[in-house]
Amino acid sequence: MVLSFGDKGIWRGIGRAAAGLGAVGATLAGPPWLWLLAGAGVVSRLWRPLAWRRRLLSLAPVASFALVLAGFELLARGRPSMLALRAMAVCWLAQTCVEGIAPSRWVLSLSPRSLAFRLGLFAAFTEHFAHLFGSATARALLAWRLAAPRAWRSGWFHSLAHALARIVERSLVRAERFYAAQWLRGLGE
Amino acid sequence: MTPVIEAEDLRFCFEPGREVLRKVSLRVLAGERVAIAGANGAGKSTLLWCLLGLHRAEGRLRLFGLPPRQARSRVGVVFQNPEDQLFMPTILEDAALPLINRGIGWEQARERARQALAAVGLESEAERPARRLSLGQRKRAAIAAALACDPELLVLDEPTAELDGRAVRLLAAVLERLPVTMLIASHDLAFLRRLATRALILRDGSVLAEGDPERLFSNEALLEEAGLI
Repeated sequence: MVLSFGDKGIWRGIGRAAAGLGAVGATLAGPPWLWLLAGAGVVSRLWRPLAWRRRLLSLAPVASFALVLAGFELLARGRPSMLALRAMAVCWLAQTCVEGIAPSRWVLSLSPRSLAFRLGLFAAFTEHFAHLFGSATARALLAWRLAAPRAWRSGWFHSLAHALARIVERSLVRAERFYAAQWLRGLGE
Repeated sequence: MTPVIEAEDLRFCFEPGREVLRKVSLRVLAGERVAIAGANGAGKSTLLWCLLGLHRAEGRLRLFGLPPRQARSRVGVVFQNPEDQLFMPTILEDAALPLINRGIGWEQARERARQALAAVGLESEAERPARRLSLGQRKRAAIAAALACDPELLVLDEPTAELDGRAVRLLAAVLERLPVTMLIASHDLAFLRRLATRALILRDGSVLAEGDPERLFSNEALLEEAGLI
């Protein structure tokens, strides 16, 4: 096969592979490389064909997690270590690497008797469930936004907490059904 | 002849003291299309899950004379939400995947998947992903995915839920043509009347009536008691 420089798919593949290597590197690197990798992680999450608001929002879950982590460290040791920064770099780069790999696209090319097929199938299930979870979360949050009292007023936080708890509950039910369906097809084991 | 389903006095509860199924007995013979009708919360889906071995119910239960988990490969299931079943890039691959997983070659699996899709009128959509299809088409794709494995029993949970009238008619026409034993849980009486050869009406987890669908579904007092009208 001749690889053409005009083939964007090749560059995307190279970019993802580099992000994967970066994620592995971030588990070991210290400053200043860690700062550089975290920056690369941010750029990789922002460099996507989405509205800017969605690109910025996609950084929020990992950033909030890292913030809480740093907060705990601050309370426990008086100053945060590089752990929060490392978590952000690893998560964002790994997300970029994994996103778009779409295991469901290549799993059928593997031998069904191989371990790789099992792992690919598991990854395809996870990918599909992440999609279901994402769409269920978006719907639940939209419903909450339409029904919730004005921000920070009485009941706002309470209703948000209930909406989030409901998402978790519904996801578990959905996961059970999805697993049952695949198990019945002989795929869930 | 061994019955396809033989269930006696099935009992099931999610929490102690609150039975969802109360002494349900059911016998399905090969070639039958048995409807399980009932209002929301009557226990239709729970009964299906128990029959499939997904919930462990008390009582005697055999599928093809075997414990349900051992008869799994002989049963095709279509869940209420097709997204629980279809996740591959094309519906052809969705239908072929369980066959490939069983060790059947890709070419043969693809051929059988194509035949299954043709049986539900979706041959021309074979290379499309499920998410690009209408809900009615997705339901039929889920049926094709089940049919590709040549099941001897097809179990359908609320197959007409959220479908418009035309999609329901099309689905009924597809199911009518299939030469397979069926167990259909639904509260769509017109759909069940058209398809079923026998019906079972559930109320609060127990069997309220059983018999000819035409007779049961035209008995207004019975339907009212079951919460179906």
